[in-house]
Amino acid sequence: MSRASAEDEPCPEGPSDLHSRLVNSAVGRWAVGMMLVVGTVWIALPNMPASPMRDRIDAVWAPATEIGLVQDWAVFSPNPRSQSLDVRAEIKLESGEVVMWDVPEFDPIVGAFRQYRWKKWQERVRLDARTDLWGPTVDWLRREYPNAARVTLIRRWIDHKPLNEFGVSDSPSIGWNGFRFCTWPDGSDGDTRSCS
Amino acid sequence: MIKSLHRAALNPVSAWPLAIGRLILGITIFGWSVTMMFDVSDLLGPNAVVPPEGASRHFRWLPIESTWATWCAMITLVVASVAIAVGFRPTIFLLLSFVLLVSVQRRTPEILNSGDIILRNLTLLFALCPTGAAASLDRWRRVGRDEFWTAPLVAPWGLHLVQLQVSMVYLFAFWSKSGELWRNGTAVSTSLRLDDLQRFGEIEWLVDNVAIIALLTWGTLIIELMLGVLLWVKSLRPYLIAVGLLLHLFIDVFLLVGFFGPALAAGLMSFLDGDRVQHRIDRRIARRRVSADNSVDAVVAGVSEG
Repeated sequence: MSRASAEDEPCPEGPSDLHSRLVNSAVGRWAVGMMLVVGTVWIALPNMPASPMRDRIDAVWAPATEIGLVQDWAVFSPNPRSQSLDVRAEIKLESGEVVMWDVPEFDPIVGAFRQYRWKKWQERVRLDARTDLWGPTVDWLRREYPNAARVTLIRRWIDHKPLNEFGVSDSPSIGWNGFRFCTWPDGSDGDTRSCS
Repeated sequence: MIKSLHRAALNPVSAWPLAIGRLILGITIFGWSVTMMFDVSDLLGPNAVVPPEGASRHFRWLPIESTWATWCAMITLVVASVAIAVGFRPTIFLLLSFVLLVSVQRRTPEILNSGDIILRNLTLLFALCPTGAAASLDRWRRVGRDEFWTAPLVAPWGLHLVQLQVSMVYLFAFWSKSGELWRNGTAVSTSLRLDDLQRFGEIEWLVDNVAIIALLTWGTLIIELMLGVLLWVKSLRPYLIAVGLLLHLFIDVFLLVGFFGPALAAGLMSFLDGDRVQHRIDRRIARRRVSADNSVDAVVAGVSEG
């Protein structure tokens, strides 16, 4: 079987796809040229490092961001974070029993493609800057545990020191640090902040 | 210079890279949608852990808030992803998928990572390409079975935007890694020890090994820089694509990064050499024909002896 070429095409009138037909006319070539210029600007320029210059021209790619073409590829940077993160909830039921809720864990093969979403949520809900997420989280937990009398959200973390010439200096035995960052209902747990 | 840019943008190229990229992208969108379906009520519905009021303030295309609307969007995404993978009207279904991906993702932006963003970016950019020109249901219906394993030449302008996007991801992933841990060669150890990002738990022998960790850390930087810059050098592409796929495989095996690897694998395919792909397919078909002819000869010989 030989390699296909433009001449091999069964359609004698030219290429069958719209994208290729577009460049057969002067107007089409002009439109393609414009799309290439705009596309290049929208893809390349938003990646510029933060600077006053960047702030001045960010309106150029604002339409791209608005429609959903977003550029942000700073992964594990400038350094990977140095803390393992976790969020859990301590739920005191009306019966007096205390249960712990943890972010759902799924299997590492297929479930991993669900797990990362919960881990991303966990990264955000634990922040003091995201108090807007605390109330809805408690509401969701109260729906999961309808007989909850008190819900306390706890952020947990492990500090990791950088690897040095002697190897890793932290170990799992250090364990998790914990901090109760909000409680529902208000005032039910001493000094802990309100979740609402 | 303008003339050569003009040539690069308009001179036709083989449709194979687009077809292979489309197939992987379709499968990735399928995986994304199906795994999202399991968490519709907890992460997307009206009673989700993030309420509808927490949706992104950016343009959402379709306001997906009720359970019914969310399920409609997810089922449509699954159908669209199958259409993309098999190459049935892929441009239309890629555009539809982009709109739905943005709508669903902006409902709960707290659960997104870079893999979700690159998935929707590539979905839009592949829609600007004739992805159904080869190895597709559309091609089968147009030319029949005999010509199915050939690819026509197509205009490459959309392909170049896909390539630019892929190249920018690697270049700026490299550029942003300016911290001390990357410079001193220990960043991979820290990344692999983050409990909440581990896929199969901590690999103690690895995170503790100074030499291997330094190799992996600086290797990552070198590979990202090479992929960001040298993918434009045609003769290096086959090696760089292979190295890029290995990098993603390594990351995916150890870390919870979602669809970042599969989406970029689709993007990397845009750098394939279409002529080489065609050559390999031709050789395979020729070999199968020879072996089929040999078996027919053997049957005929057996019958005549009998």
